[in-house]
Amino acid sequence: MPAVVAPAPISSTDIGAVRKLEDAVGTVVRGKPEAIRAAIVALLSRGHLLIEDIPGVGKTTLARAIAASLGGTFRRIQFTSDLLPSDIVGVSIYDQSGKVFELKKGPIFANVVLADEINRTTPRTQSALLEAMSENQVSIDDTTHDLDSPFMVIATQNPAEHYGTYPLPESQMDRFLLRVSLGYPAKSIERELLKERAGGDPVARLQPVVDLAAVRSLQDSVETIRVDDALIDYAMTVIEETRRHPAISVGVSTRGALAWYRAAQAAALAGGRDFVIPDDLKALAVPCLSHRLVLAQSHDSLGRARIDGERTIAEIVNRVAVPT
Amino acid sequence: MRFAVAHKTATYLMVGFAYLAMTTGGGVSPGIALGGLVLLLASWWWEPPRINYDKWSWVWTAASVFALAYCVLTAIVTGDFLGVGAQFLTWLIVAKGFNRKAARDWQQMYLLAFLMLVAGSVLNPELTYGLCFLGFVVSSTWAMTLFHLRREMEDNLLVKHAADRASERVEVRRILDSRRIVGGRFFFGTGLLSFGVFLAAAALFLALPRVGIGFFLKSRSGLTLAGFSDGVKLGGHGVIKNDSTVVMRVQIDPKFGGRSAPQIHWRGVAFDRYSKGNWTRSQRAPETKQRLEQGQVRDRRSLNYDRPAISIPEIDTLATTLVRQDIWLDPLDSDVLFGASLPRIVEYPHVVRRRGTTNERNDEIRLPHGSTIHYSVWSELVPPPPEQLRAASGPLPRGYEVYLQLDEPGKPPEITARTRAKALEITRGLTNNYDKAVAIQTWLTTNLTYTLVLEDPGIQEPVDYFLFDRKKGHCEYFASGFAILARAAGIPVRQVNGFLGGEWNEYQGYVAVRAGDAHSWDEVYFPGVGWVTFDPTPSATVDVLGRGGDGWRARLSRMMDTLRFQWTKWVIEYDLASQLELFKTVGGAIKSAALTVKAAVVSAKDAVLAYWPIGAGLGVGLIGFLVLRRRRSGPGMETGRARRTRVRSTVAEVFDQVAAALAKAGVARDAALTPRELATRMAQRGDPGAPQVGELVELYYVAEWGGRRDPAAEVRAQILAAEIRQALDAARRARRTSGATA
Amino acid sequence: MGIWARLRRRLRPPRRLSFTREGRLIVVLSVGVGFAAINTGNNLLYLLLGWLLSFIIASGILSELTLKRLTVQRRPPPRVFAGDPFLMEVVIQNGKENRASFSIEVEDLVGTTPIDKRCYFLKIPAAKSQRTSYRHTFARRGHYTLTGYRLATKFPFALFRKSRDVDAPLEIIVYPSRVAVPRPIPRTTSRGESTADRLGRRGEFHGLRERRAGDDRRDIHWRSSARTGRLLVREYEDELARRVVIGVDNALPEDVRDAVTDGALTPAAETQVSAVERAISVAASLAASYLEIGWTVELCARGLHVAPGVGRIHEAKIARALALLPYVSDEVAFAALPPKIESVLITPRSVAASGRPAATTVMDV
Repeated sequence: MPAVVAPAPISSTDIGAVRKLEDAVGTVVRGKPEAIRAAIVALLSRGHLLIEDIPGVGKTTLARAIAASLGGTFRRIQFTSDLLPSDIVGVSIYDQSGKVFELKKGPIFANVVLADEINRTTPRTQSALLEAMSENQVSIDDTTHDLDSPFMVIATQNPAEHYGTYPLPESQMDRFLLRVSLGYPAKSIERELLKERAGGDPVARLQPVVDLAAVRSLQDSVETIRVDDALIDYAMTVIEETRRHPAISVGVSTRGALAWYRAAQAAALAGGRDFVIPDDLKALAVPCLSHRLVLAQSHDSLGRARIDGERTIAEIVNRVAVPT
Repeated sequence: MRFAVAHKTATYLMVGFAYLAMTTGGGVSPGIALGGLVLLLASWWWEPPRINYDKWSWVWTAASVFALAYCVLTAIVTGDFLGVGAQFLTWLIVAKGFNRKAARDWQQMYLLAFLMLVAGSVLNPELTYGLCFLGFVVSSTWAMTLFHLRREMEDNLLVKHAADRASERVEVRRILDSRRIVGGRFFFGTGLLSFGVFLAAAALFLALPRVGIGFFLKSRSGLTLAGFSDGVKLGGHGVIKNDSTVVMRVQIDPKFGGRSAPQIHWRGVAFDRYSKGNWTRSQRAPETKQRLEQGQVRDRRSLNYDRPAISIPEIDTLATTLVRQDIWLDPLDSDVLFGASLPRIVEYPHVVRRRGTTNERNDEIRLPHGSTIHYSVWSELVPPPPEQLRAASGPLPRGYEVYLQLDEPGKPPEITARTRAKALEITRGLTNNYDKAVAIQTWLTTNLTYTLVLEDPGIQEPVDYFLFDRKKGHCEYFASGFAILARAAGIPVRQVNGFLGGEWNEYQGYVAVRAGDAHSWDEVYFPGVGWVTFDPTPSATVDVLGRGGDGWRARLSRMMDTLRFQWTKWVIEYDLASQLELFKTVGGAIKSAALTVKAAVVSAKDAVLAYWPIGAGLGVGLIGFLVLRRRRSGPGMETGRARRTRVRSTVAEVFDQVAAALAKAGVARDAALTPRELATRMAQRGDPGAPQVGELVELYYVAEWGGRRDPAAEVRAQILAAEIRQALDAARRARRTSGATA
Repeated sequence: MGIWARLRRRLRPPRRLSFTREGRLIVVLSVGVGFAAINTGNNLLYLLLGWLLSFIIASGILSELTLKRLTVQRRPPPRVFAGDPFLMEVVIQNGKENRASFSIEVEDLVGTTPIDKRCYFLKIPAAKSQRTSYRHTFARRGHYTLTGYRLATKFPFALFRKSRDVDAPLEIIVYPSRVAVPRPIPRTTSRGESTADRLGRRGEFHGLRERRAGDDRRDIHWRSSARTGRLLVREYEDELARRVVIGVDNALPEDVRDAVTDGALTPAAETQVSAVERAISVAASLAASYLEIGWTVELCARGLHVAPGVGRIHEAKIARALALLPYVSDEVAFAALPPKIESVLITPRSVAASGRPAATTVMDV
């Protein structure tokens, strides 16, 4: 038997890159380390982030900060009820002078896309976005175009409003790797923010700290992160629990389990390791799984549904024995 | 218990049992034996750190030289090499007990124990040897196993490797004090093992063929033999001691046994000549007429008394009509063989006939033996009927004149006139010797009393003194009186010494004859008929074999005697004949068992053949059921527990130990809590050892989930574990003191 | 395995027995007691003889039972270097559910001879495992196979030593000994240090090469790829700046090579062999230090070529190749050093060989 060694292409430069990214974003988005970590995890896993929160707590700032730190492009799509798919994807316009169709790419052709208030637009538009997210390409006039790489969507939903909204059905929520909520910052942080915001836009001052090629290579490395069999058993046990829990009518799907697995790998890399530990899985259980459930009891507000889902997952994960 | 203590205990037990095996039974003088035992026990405490061996070594060396010189001198002077050798062994084991420094010393103790056991095999053939042997087997198994483990440890084969420093030896003292190495299970297991060893030893003992050259041991020196005088000397004074040592055990047909059976006279030596109070065998007395048949395994002698010799087939037929006794006779001062009066045939293990006179006269049988001898006797227990005796007449056989002799020819008569006159007076008017003898016997039993107190007759003729003056005496006096009176009346008579009666042992069906049962009586010759036993002593207290009573104490002593008898019979006296018998019995048992099995198999076969359709149907049904059951459980289902075959890393094991220690200290980890979360919680609460736990958790993660084996990490983990333990201990002590003061 | 070897293995006795000093003493005692017993007919001596014999038999049975169901795992450290002592961890597992094993010795075997490093376990509780290590050094690099291990015990009475051989092959690659090499200063360092602080910019177009995992899809030159049928990507000069080829000359004259296989080395041959070993060690250390700072390293030797790569996996690949690099004659051709790439050729001093390629730097060690 060969000697026991865990080979990985993770080098110290890789880990340093992630650290720099987090720090850079952290200078702008204060007091929200879990949200930043979630965003990084989503970025590294080639996944997308859903933020359910009240407006004005820093969702845009987060997305812009990430894009700036990558040295990549940032686009914001404000979803309204009359938004069309072509407004997202792009269109080819007939240029009269040149007598050719000119392709105008939509805002989805960017590295970081902020899809704001996604629950305010029609399901048809929603599905255009979601399709693009899952396939990494769009077709405009019978030609398919690849999206940029890296490509991450940060979508937001406002839980409070329910008048005139189209909340994402659970089957579509599956496409988001993680769901988080930011919430109000801590009092001390809020006071500092007020003092500092006096002078200009902090995001504009951000310099890129990682380049896109490095991010791509990091994304490749995530797949090689080592996951022990015992951890897979643990994950499967938790997934089984969600499928059998009395308060959940439909549990987490296989896609959800795969997503959780990938997210744990990314979290390990973000934590500076080339192997997954139980804490990675346990910490990501709520953000990764709570939006993939169909609860037995229907709720009238998004917020309450979110709280109930998160509480159920938390209860499960605090009951199942972690592997040692 | 602690390892070192366990080893010492087992060794001392082993040595103790061997020592007792050698010294009980009288082979070693009791003073030395007891002294040695006391010193041996005292040496238990003689060891570091209390004692420094080197300081005392000169004392022991000097003492050993002295002891050796003493023993050599004693041996040369007394010639008792074996006894002195045993004493020297005693000294050696005591000296070793006080000098237990290294493994070599323990080894020498074991060797000495074995040598003591060998010495005991010669010096102590009692039951105590068997019990000590059993104890020795059990304790030797423990002792040798523990010694082996101890020696491996002390040979410093245990080395602890560490990456950051040179490999260091594990502290031997720590292991010796450890309680975890040998526990109850270990002792139970080795106890079971030693029981198996004991059984195997017993089986080998029974099976090893006894093809010995002879059955004679060198006579044991210093061993006190029970007394049996080979002569009778009337006179002296004192009190005759009632010695209760069992000297002879007789297995006899239960018809003649039982606690209410009449006492039996066990005939031994016979005397013909009386002079000045002494009974002796004179040179003129007729030699025992006998026929000797020597066989491969057994020799047989048939006594003819006054009759002509008979042929061997006639002897065989005679044996079937007589009463058989199997006798185990301990060695006595005399080498005579005893048998129920009157013995006709004697059979004993084959011996090479020694040259020299046998001095067998007066129908005695002698066989020199240095140890317990097992032989068989066929006797005529029932005397001829009185009518036949009254009608007896005829000349005396040649040589039988001695049995009428009263005075020494050519010497002044010793028997007084009044004795002779008394004899004629008692037998006046009687016509035949039988009635005369009966009259004398009756006169003696009615007119004189029995006593164990002796009185010196002085210069007076002892029988005269007894008959007329003292009128009290013990059995020798009575027997002598009868003989003298009878001879004075013209009746041929001789005095016989032997044993009378004994105690019937109901547990094993034998008579236990004690030294105190020694007795004297007479035999009267009737021409044409033979010798007849006459016992003139008035019966003392009991005249049945039920001596000893039925109280629990008596029963207990009889049970002990049974054990001793079994020990003698099956171990000490186990010979080729017993072996062949045993094999025959075992072979017979096996054969009968085999026959039963064969019969069972045959009947089963018949049953199956008779009902074969039903059997076939059942068989098919059973097979089908099994197949279906296996199919239903599925091809890929794991039926057993999924055993985790992965070996945990060293750091993970260290972490497990720390987790156990934390749990004991009250910081229990919920199963759903990850170790890192536990460490964070401990840090938040400020629990003792929290920072080390945090670092240890990280190391553990790298080792267990990262699959990386890093020797430096293992070292660090051990250090952290030690620090955590220290922190927990400190916290516990602080709690205790604060709790005490609160 | 050939049929002879298989037959030999079947015929080889699975258990070995050798008497200790105490065992011989007990046999002598038994003979003595037996002799005495037969001579004197003393039954108690027969009893002692019976006990001695069953003692010996019980010893044999118990030592057999104690060796049952024991498995051993040997765990070497991740990397073993020639000439460096390392700790080989030995983990023994007791498969019995309710019986402990006492006093076990474990030795590694090469072929049928033990390595002479005995590990001793005092007690292995039931269904548990114990671990210890032994220190060992491999003097030479290369590929070693530990064929198995030997379990032995003197339990319970140390009358004899019973041992059992188990086949459990363990391959160990011993890497070339580590030598200190100075951190290489790249000759073409006009751009500065690592990329983590720079934006990704490309230099001049240099040429086409085959696509490797991780290459950007946008670099694919579709036309050439369609023509050749393989995915080709454009390579820019920027990436060439941090690339190096390491060459090492593993040639030795024939007589020296024969002496190595025979094991009889003259002092002159000894110097040549150690020079080549030094060269290989330097090559390994150099490659490792280049890879650590993120360079792409390619390895060339006689009869060996390792394609360029980065990262830890590649370092393991190069180290392994160097560990197993054989000595060859100088007629074996050197793998071609690619032009325009910085190259370092490491040559052993005092070894004359022909056919060495030209390189940017030549280190004579």
